[in-house]
Amino acid sequence: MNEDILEQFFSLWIHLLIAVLSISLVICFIRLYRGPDVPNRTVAFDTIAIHTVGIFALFSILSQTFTLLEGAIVTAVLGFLGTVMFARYLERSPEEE
Amino acid sequence: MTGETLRHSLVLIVATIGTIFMLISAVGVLRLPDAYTRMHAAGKAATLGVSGLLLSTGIFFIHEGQLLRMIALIALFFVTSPIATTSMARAAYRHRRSRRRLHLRHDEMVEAVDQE
Repeated sequence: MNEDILEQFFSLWIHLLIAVLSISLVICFIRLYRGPDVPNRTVAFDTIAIHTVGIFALFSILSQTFTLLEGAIVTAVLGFLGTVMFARYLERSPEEE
Repeated sequence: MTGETLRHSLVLIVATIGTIFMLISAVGVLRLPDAYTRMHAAGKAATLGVSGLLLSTGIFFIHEGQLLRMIALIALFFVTSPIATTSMARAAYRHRRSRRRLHLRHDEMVEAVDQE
């Protein structure tokens, strides 16, 4: 009985953390939409990739399958490569717009 | 039973700290005035926020042997996050339009960059 209540509390708290992280992801998307120029959107893209890794980690705790962590690793590497690619592209075209 | 409860409460505490830092950094990315201060806020999410979440995942799956792998992923973040922030700051400085929006009193690098 006692362990059952503890298990439910754990699951509820992880659900709550995923909800907070999703709100924070929506805030980052607002910056991606409103960003006045391309460097601001690059910062927002970097933050969104990091948030995706965090949501992957929390969801693997919730569903108790650690196979999902492979996806977290791949998403981390892809987010870093995308950010560096955007930065290089910006540096090449200073007069654009 | 007590070991299980201790492990679960440790997971909850570390994951809560990480999530709070992610939320603070997202609010900072939305509210701060220019691109450089937004990069400063995004760096907080990249280090303390996501390493708290990954460390809590590693503690939760400690019997499956995932803790070492999560520590390796935290080390990957600690290596790649300064590289990404530095290249973003450099690109934002060399992008002419966003330099005009900068609130600086004195800028030493402007002659060196404009000579190129």
